[in-house]
Amino acid sequence: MALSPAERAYIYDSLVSPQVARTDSRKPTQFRPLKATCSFLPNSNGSSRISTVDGLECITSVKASVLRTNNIDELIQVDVDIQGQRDDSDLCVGISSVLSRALTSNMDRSKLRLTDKYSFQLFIDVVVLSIPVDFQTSSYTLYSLISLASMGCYLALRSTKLPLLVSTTNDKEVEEEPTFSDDWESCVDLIPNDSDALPTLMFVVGIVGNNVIADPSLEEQQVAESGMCIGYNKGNIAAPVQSVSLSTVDGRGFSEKALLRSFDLVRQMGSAVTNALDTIAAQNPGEVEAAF
Amino acid sequence: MSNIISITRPSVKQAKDEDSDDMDIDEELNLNDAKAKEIQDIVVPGELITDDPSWMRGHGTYYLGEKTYSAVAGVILRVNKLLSVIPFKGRYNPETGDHVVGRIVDVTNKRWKVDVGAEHDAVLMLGAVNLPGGVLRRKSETDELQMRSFLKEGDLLNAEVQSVFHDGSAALHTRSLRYGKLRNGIFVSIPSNLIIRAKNYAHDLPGGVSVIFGVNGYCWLYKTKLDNSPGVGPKSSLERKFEAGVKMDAANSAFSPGMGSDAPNKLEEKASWDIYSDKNDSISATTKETISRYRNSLLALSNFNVAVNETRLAKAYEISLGYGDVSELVKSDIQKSIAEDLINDEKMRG
Amino acid sequence: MSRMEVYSPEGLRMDGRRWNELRQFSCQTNTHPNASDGSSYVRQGNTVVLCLVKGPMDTNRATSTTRASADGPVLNINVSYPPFAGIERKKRSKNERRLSELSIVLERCFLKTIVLKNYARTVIEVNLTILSFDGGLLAACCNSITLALIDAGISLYDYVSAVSVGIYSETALLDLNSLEESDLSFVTVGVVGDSDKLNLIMCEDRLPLDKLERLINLGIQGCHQLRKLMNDTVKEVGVELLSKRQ
Repeated sequence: MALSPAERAYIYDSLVSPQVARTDSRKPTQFRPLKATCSFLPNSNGSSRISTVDGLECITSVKASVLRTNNIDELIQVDVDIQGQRDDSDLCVGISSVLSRALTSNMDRSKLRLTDKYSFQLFIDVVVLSIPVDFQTSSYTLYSLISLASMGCYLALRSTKLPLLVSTTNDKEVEEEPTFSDDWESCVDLIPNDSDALPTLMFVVGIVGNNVIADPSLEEQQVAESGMCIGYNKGNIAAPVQSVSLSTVDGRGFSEKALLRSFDLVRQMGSAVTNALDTIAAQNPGEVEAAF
Repeated sequence: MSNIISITRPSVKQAKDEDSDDMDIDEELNLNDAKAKEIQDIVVPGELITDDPSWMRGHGTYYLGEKTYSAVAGVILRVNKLLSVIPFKGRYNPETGDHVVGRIVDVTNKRWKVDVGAEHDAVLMLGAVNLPGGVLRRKSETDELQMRSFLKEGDLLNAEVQSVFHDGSAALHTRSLRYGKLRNGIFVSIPSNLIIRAKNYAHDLPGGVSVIFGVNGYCWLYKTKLDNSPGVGPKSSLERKFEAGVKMDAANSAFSPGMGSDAPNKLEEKASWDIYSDKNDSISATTKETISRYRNSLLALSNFNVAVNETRLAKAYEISLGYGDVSELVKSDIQKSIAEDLINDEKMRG
Repeated sequence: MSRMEVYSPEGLRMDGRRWNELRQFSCQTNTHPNASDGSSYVRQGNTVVLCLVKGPMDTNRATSTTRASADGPVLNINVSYPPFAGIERKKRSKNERRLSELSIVLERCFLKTIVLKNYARTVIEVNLTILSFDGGLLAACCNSITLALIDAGISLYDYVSAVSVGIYSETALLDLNSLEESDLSFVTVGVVGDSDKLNLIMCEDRLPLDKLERLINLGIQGCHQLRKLMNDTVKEVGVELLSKRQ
């Protein structure tokens, strides 16, 4: 859906004006409604499904295995698969590298550590179910998926349950493979409810002139001059922070003012988004049926 | 909840019969068959419709010998002796005379390819458009070379389906001032089967906003051209002349040759280039907000599967004013109440 | 660990079913109305498949370059098998042979089911995502495609419903899970509507020929049962769509 010049002008003029007017009437800080659910995959430790009104949808699975290392970089593996895109496409690589930096930067390592030699390894797999048919002919880049996928990862990690270790944690002297409780009832949450080590959430904001808008729609992305991808954790801006191009045409730099505004915007939205996601994660784990 | 984000769980359908797991083959199951049978004329692929060979077989059917079967899941439609099945869902099926909104996807040899949401892209021949310089002008080779200066990839236009080819694809024309490039507004796409068939698909709505309901489900919401409300500056004579043309054409409701060529002066020449302009008029913030409100009202109806026409849209708009700030209308629970209010309102009036 | 018996002398299978019982089956259509023309979700036991259909549309819209055919649609079936689908995480390459084979078998099957002449010079893209795998992959894919095509309003001659059937010494077992699949020879059959006609048959193991008829008969009965369940869902969703469309 390439926009016509008249449409572009209409949307751009509305967004660039001092009173930002979005064509779908949202406030600059407002997200479009999302649908999400957790723990619906029978074969995964944690999972989530999240979708937008555009029809974009991420399914995320967290699987844990046991690895003999303590190197944090090896312990979290993020893999993004986008339907119709090669695994080595710019989009897949771009999204998975941002996500893995976001998730490793603030992960509570002690939670993954089992014994002196062994740790849990988490495989986080994100599947983007379908991308719009007009992706090839339109000017949006879909880097905005970072935001959706990041929320998916957050939900999946929050719903992740790990088996309880029953063997000793001290294997410095004696070589012993970790063994786990067979009882699934006694599993432990990866992120307990009172934990303060939450995964970093990534936000993608669009920049038009000096204005910054949250959750740009596909139409807005096409007129956006630039975009920022900003991490958020516990009320603060967190690494990684980087600029992303939301559109392949009319890209432009952005002012320092816009940059500061986008930080403000993310700080404003952060806690509301976290709360909304936590509410979903706290609801009873779903059966597969309930997810569709 | 906060005004920033709303996340809900996907709508959970009613749990099916608990016994449905691990069914025995010998067991006769009779889940909802009886209920579905009550609603007449619903058929599924492979279902026998009739073995009477006198029926003509239309869309959505196939036949073996004298028997006619349904090929889609939908509702049987009998018109005179023609039997067809209208699927519950499906792409737009062009018919001659349909007023559609489309987007140019390709410019090729003497024709534009237009996306109208159908199975095939529609074609718009160079010969089927009005070109600047009077309608009676002959199309020259220069015109062929500068087709992109009239319409290019991405441009939106409204047009009429002139004819339908054997494979179901449509040929369009814009040989009337009602049709042509679209400006001053926003595009909204809804399922084509939610557009209520009517005589006229272009309407002025309260609030200085107009709408074109493309029969194909593509809609265009824009600032009304004839805006006589105070506060708008005096119009240029050129604009007025242009509007007069539109009015006259609408009144005749058919293209009359010679129209527009009676004054082959400079002004006329300029006016006809205007129909290919990419520039929007100035649109006030209030009008933009009204357009957004109409957009959300339209989507509210379509998201909850309510068919639309101009009266319903105007009513939904009126209802939406009761839901406070326009930014509230994005939320799906509010969209749902708008759709429900509309239906209840209509029921009360009978 | 003691090996479980595939079929106990009392006539029970590992998951407690009898020989002629299907696993829990549930399905839904129109699950992704904003992302596709037709969509469906099928669950057979612990095998869960999503199917999204885009089209019929002009061939130049296809994601891969496609040459139009004047006789009928080009059917592109893509099977995606995410690493988390099995019990053990395993990353599969996109063009793994088994998956391409699967899509070729399905393409052939559905080219016989779609009313071809209605869709000349178009492309129909079918994207399958296997969310969870526990045996009966071909069958679940086949059922979900049928539902998604119907949801997209594409003309079909009839339903195609499929199920796998295995043989354990003298007994035919219906709808195998992955443990049974690894132990037994099995065949997947796809049936046209409520007839006895087969549209799809696939067997990758050695199978005694004299037993084949028994297997197919059991398979046909299972398919009829599935078709009924699918039919109920299609009608239910249709009635719901109609009810609100005043």
